[in-house]
Amino acid sequence: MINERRYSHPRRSARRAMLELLLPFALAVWAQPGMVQEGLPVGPAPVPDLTGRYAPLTCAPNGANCPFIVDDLKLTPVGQKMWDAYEEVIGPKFDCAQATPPSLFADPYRWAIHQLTDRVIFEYEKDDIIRTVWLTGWGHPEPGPYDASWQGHSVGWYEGDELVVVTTRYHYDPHGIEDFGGIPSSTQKRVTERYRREGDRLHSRVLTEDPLILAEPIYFEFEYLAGDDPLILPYRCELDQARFPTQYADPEKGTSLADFGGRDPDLVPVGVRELQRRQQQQSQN
Amino acid sequence: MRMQVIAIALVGILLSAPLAAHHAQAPFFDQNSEVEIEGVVTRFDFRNPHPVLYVDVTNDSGEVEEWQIQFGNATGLRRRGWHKDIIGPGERIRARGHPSWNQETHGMQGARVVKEDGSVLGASTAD
Repeated sequence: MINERRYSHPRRSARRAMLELLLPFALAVWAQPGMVQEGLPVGPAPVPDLTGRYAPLTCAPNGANCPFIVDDLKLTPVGQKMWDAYEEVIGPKFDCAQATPPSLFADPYRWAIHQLTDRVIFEYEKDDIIRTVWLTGWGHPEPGPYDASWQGHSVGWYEGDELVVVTTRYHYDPHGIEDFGGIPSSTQKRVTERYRREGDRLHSRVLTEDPLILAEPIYFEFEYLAGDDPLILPYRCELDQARFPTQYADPEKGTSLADFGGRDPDLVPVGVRELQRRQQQQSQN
Repeated sequence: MRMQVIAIALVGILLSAPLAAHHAQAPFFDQNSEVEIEGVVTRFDFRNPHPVLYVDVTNDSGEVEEWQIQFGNATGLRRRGWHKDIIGPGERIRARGHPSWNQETHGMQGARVVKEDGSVLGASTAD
């Protein structure tokens, strides 16, 4: 039997009507694209939509300093000594160790951004790397005094249309600044990344600091192209394959890049713009 | 089946865009010279980070040497249409690339491999 008193009471009807009117409004304001992911609760503020898969394009603008010219880096005396002592075969990459920022960013592999409400996940083809960016304001625990890791600890937040990521707490890495030439990074490495999406382009700005190794921070910009191609995973580095090239080194020669013209700018990959500048300079000489 | 060592001068500047090979090749392979081989494939190991093609080559003394042709990463090659069966045992190939420094080995990198049907497996992606 319908309780007509319950459903026809004027005050209850008005309250119900107000709720029914306001609820969709509230949901429209609070629930934004990209926020309701992976079943987690919706947060309070709109965020830029950076979710997607990306292929590396080139350094910006116009390929300049892609990502940097190794010989132009300003190293501390400690950094210079360590670089001078570096031998290619001691590179941890020959034991399947993951690349870390900033080298990771210019590697020719695709990667993906997954935005969750309280964190952002960076997923890379290269070395099966997963980096978790813990968004501030969600009560994520701080790392302890002895917590350090190969990919460090990343915290992030949104500033307007940019995602800002700051990573510290890295382990010492024999090629943590530059894995092609073997410039190490210390536990003081700090990498700040800024990502902004414009249409199908993702712009990144990267600042790398390490006062023990670098006399000046390194700054570069990079562009990625969004696309639907899935990531090719797993990378699955196999140890015997990783060490494969080392057998080809001549024991009498060693593997220091300096002995093979490795510091010669002509043998260090550079971006298009720098290449054009050098060709122009050569034709003038 | 023959083997030729061709000394060439490196002219120009290596171009890459984007760039950043996983590691330098110069300490392992002589970037200032090239070697050319012909032989029979015995195995293709299509794994990361360095796929390797194994080739039996008969040298000028009539001895069979096993050569290993190292390619760039399998991920990049897969994106270009490569797969583990793109080349297989019994196929005859010609290859030209940079030889390994260690005289006791027969390695090659940066190779251009030509199959018997004339199709080419190009020089590698970045390692």
